[in-house]
Amino acid sequence: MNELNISIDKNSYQPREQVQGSIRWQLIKPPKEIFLQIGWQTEGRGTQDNRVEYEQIFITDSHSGTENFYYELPASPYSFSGKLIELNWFIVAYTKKGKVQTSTDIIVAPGRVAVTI
Amino acid sequence: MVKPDKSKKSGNIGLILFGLVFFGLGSFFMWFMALKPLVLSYQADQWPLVACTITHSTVDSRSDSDGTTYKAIINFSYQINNQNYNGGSYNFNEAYSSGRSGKQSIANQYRVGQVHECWVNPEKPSQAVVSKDIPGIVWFIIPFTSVFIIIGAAVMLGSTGLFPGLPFSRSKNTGHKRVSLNQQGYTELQARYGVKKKLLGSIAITLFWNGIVSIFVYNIWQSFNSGNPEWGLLIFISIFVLAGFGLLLWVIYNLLSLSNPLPILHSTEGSPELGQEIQLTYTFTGNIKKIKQLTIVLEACEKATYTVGTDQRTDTNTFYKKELLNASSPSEHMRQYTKVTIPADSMHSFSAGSNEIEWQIKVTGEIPYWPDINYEYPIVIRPTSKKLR
Repeated sequence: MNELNISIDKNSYQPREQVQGSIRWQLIKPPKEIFLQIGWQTEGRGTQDNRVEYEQIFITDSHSGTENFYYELPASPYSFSGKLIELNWFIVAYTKKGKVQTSTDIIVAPGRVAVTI
Repeated sequence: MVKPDKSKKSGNIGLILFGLVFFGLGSFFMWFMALKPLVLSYQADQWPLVACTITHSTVDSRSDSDGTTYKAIINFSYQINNQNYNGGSYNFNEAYSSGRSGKQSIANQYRVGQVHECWVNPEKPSQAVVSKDIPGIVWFIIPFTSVFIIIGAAVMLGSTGLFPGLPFSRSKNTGHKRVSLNQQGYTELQARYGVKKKLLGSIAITLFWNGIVSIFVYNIWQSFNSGNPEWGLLIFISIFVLAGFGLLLWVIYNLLSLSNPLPILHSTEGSPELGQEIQLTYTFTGNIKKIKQLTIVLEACEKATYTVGTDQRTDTNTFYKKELLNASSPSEHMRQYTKVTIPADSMHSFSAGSNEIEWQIKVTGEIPYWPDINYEYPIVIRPTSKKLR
């Protein structure tokens, strides 16, 4: 059974705060490469926009393992929610060609609460 | 909370139907022109072989705008289970194709009166062929119709959201411009559309519209001169002539606006951050006494751009509006400054291709019996520069 998990120190952050976390995998076939991305995407009425702010590639021949990551978040954009647009931050990990992937949502905004407009 | 997007749903239904047509037509033609002859050719290996006498041998042709296509028509008589049959075909291909010579050589090979061997379907004895080879056209039809099937299936799956999820790495940035954290200091704000730009734009549109309409008007005028008036066209085109007249009034309106007092706005900070207080200074070129009611408003809106069919639409929602000045007396108009604190708990400016948070200062001035003043000054609001703990 394939397992790929993301663990992070918390789920909501101030802008420019550091995200600390780790990825843990147990896969039937050695993944060769595991990609980790931190970014955001919009949801709602408009065509989806997104941006990957940080990417790290872990090269491994092991069926299982753990790797840590650290990233200082940028000052913007904030997580927010409006009538037409929502902006959500995410952390995603996946093996080559996206065969196994997992993701988790985080909040990045002052006070660690998404801005409501 | 985000409202569900009804327009996207209707767009999706259209795409699903579009995909269904592609998929359906591709599947239909693949079955009848390729898979069915292929299957029958393999099944015919098990069919009994009987003697048959050729009764008809010719090359049939069909012509349309794409050219002429041909097919070898071979019929024969045969006997099976003490029953006589007349019919059959050369092989299992039902399609016509280009190139006469190949079909002609088949017809030459099977001349009327000659005796050949034919394969007869034991379950349906009226079905018989003199060649059980796989028709060559099958190898062309399979890849050709596959393209339609794949496109149709992809459109349908994509529209219904059944496509397997793609990793986020496929598009790393859709056009986001991060707001700079740098201060700009004391700045003159620039209006989105100056009065001269508005005038030039209106002239260009009016000339284009009326230029096209004038061609039809000229034709109508000629028809009246020749004593053969085109009344139908006259009634139809009159709506467009009226619209052209409206555009002319728009040009005149913009022309008159040129003489309006022009607001000049300065801010103590050209790009304030959330929670920052700024002082706006406003002066006017021209006669400020003409203005009856002057309003200055700070507002923020979210703009979402999306595609419906071939149209691109933008929905706008104003989520913040604060009146900075609403003055009806010339003495107040002369005050020349106002202060505002950008709300700290709001959203900074944001632009990412299709989704946008836009802040602006709107200046409107009511002038009796004259075009009003109406200017928008976009302003970039920065996120907080403090490192929060």
